[in-house]
Amino acid sequence: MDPYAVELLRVSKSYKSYQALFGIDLQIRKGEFFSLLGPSGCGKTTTLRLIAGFEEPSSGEVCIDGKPVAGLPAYRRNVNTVFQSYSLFPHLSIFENVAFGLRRSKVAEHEITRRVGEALAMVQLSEKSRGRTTELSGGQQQRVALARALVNQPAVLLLDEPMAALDSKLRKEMRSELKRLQKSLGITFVLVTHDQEEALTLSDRLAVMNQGRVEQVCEPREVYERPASRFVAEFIGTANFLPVKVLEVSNGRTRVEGEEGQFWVVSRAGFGVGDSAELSLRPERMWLGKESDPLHNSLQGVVSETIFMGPVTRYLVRLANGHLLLTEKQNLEEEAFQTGDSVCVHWDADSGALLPR
Amino acid sequence: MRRFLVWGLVLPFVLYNLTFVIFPLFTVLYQSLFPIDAEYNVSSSATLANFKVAFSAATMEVMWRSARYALTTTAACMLLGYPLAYYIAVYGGRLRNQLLILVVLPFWTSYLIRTFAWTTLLQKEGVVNHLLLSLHLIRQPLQMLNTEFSVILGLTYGFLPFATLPIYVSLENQDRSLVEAAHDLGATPFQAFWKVVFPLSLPGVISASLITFVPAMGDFVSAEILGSPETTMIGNLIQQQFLALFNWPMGSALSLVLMLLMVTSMALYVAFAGDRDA
Repeated sequence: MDPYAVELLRVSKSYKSYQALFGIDLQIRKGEFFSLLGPSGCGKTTTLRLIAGFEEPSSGEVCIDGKPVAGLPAYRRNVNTVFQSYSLFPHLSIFENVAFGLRRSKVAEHEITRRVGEALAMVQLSEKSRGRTTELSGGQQQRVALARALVNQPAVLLLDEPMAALDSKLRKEMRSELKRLQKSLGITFVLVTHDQEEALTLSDRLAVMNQGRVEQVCEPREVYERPASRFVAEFIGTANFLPVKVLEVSNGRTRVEGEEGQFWVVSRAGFGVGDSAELSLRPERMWLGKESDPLHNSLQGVVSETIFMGPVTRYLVRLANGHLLLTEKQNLEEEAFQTGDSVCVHWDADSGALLPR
Repeated sequence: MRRFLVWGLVLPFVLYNLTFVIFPLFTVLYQSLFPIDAEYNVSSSATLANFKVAFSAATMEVMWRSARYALTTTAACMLLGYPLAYYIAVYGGRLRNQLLILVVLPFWTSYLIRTFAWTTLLQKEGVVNHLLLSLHLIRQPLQMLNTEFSVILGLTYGFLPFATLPIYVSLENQDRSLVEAAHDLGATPFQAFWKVVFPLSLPGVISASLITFVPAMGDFVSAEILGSPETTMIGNLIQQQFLALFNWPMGSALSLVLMLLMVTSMALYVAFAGDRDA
């Protein structure tokens, strides 16, 4: 088995007054685009800094390329970082910024010229190499930061919220460029972000972090459709939650009962009869009808609010017990529902996700 | 209305400069052109006689000595002030402001009195000799007072805070993530300092050296109190002309020559340093 590009084993990090990480485990595969996703203060940046070598873990082990790196300072690690604020050297030209790492490792002058040229071409900044970094726009500075890191051909490229300072249009451009670069270079990318869309569109796999712990590590689709916890379900996308009790587990399907009624859910390991759970339902996986439908899960309610959002309309449906359910419906050429209409909300057994409570 | 407002705002500044800079400067220039004789009779016609003295070899020797002292002082201030400023900026943490106050604290006492204090420290029976003797580092007390050493020491001591503060500001404004970026790209702590931190602090070093060199060059207190006739600086000559010999025209001429040399050398320095920066 190939060693992982980065491996964290029971890594904890505490500072004087608080603990940032509580024994996290992570395995990042070679050549994959991996994201650390979570709200601010969840420990994702600390994790990145531990890999880069700017911090040492309080306990546990960090391995890069299968080798433990404890005590190895940042300048001896074969990883490079793209910083959130880019951190370009203002006193050096763009060329010298990119050449900085190569000069430190005593690469020959003609080799430096060639590699810096290639790196700048890669980020489409060839014609600017003699300019100053202060003359560049935010997006261009970002590209220089990328070139400066990638020119060293690191085993792992760490990206600390690299797109946080860009406007949304530029961010989308940078996103596809990052993905293109990662694919063509085959370098392992580790991206720290709080932007779920960014993490979902870019990553091969991602880790959702919360309060110093890893909640779930999986592929983007799975994290959306099979969230491991209520936190993950809420952080990524929108979801409705119904408290339920497991009544029956049979044939890969589980029957649960809540205050609102009985529903079928596709089974997931770890739930037995009598367990308390939470049923998570995505708004866009439910549809509205006039009559109840015995083939699907369904609930009666009254439309209490409609929110037109362009391609879709959101409906808030008040259930018999007073709870509100958020559903979403594409605006096709069919009748829309009005506030006050009696409706039936339907969803398939495989649309809901059962979460531990 | 708008134009009136602009002039109204500019006027006090213009008046201030006319009254306290331009006018005195012209008085000095005017006076220097009318020498006085031994009986204090003012010459009836303008002459450059005073400037002949001011540019004489004897005066130039003093001028050159002053420049040498001022340069040594500046170098010493940079060597002491940089590590001090670096330490406070990087490791000062929450105590930064308190440490800065300690740097500026000597200013709360008059420069004259602080310089006098050095005589008790440096004299034959002084604290420093005592210490060195008791540590058996020397057998005979050292002659430290009334030497070049004591004059330059006095100047360095007097201007060290001037040197420290601009360097501190340039270091303190530096983005610490640049050092991390340098480490990330393989720079050892030493390389990160020489390739990133130091070049970025150069503007501070340049202003610190100017702000030290200029007053050190014109200083007379240190040479007066800690020096000897052999360590006379240009400031002492000027002071003598004004306050001891009451030869204001000669003092004016010497001042103007000092000013001229300083402005020229500073302009060259800034041009050179500014060129480096760009």
